[in-house]
Amino acid sequence: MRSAHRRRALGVCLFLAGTVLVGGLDLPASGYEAFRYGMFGFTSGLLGILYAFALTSGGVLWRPAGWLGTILLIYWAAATAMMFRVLLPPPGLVQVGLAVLSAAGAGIIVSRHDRHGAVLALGVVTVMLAVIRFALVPVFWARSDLPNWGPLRIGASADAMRDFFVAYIPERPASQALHFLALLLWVLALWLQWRPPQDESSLTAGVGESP
Amino acid sequence: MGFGQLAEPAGASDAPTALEWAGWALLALLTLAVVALTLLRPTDPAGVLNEIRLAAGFDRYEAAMEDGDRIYSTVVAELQQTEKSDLDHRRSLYALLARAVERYGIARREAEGFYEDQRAQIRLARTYQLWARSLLEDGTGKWYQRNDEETLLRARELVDRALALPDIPGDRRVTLEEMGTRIDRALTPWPIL
Repeated sequence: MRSAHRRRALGVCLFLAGTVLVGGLDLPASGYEAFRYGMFGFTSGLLGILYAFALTSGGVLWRPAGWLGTILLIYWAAATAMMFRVLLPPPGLVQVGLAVLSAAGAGIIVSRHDRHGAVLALGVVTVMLAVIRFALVPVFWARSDLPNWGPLRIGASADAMRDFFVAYIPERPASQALHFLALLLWVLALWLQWRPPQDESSLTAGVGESP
Repeated sequence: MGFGQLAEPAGASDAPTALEWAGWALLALLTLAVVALTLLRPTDPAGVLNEIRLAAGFDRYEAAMEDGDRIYSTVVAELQQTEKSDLDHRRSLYALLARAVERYGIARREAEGFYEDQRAQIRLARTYQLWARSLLEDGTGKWYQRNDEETLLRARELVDRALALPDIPGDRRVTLEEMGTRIDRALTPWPIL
């Protein structure tokens, strides 16, 4: 095994581990917790595996033969799952709809014949989720509050209804910077392996070709 | 140089260099940090440092005392902002108090000499007192409501635990005994009798 392949895989894994570490950090806006670390859940985990498979099938992800390929695949799946944990809104009906749409997006990525098209499709899914998660949900949450009118506790009912759609927990603005950093590390990992070391006989088809 | 193009050193040998070993070690460290954060679920940077000090066995007494104090002051601040009706949040704070008690317990085991042990006992009694007072508030209903006996019995148990500490100061003991009496009255169906 060439040392260049090993070093490249190591660099990619380091970026992906950084994604998993930084992406899990939340900074709650209220409460006693200075920070909170949350691992990705079942839905994000499945989406991570699905997208790792789709991106590898589409030739976007470099997968060398042997144990390096296995390690890379595990880190890609975990980091992609963490990316979906960052991008998907909190549990509720909105998350259900977006998770289904994201799963359908994996199908679009597999159907693309060129790597750039596949990455562009992934970017569109990412931007769509980010807009809903970071722009739409906080505004909806902040403006859907109702006061309690004496014995009529319509405020409590409104909160329960709101949680049915999205159980949002406000976070400090710095949280968004952390989550952006996690996505940036994921992109850097993708960039690092875009052109794998040459003379590799076990590259997946199409990887390393000139765009 | 385009997207993803990196220069590779020509004729590099296959053996890992010291820098590469350092990279693998860093990867292992990052992965370990993720696992530790997931399992230990820390909520404060100071808590992480104290956890490391406790695990490493470096000045365990002070680390346990500092962590207990940090948790206690957090709970005091949170209880002031928490409504009595928010039982879920109050229960999560009681879980934190249990953790503070556990920390002071470690401090007592690690104490060297009488004064260190007494210092830990005083903090332990203070924690039990706060916990019992809060449970007394939770368990006492309005004049037309029945008191929650289970919660009150738990409060009484905590007061008894605090009173069982051998070296707490007299004024703290008196305060705890008064609280015990109040809990006993709340437990009595007809306090006037």
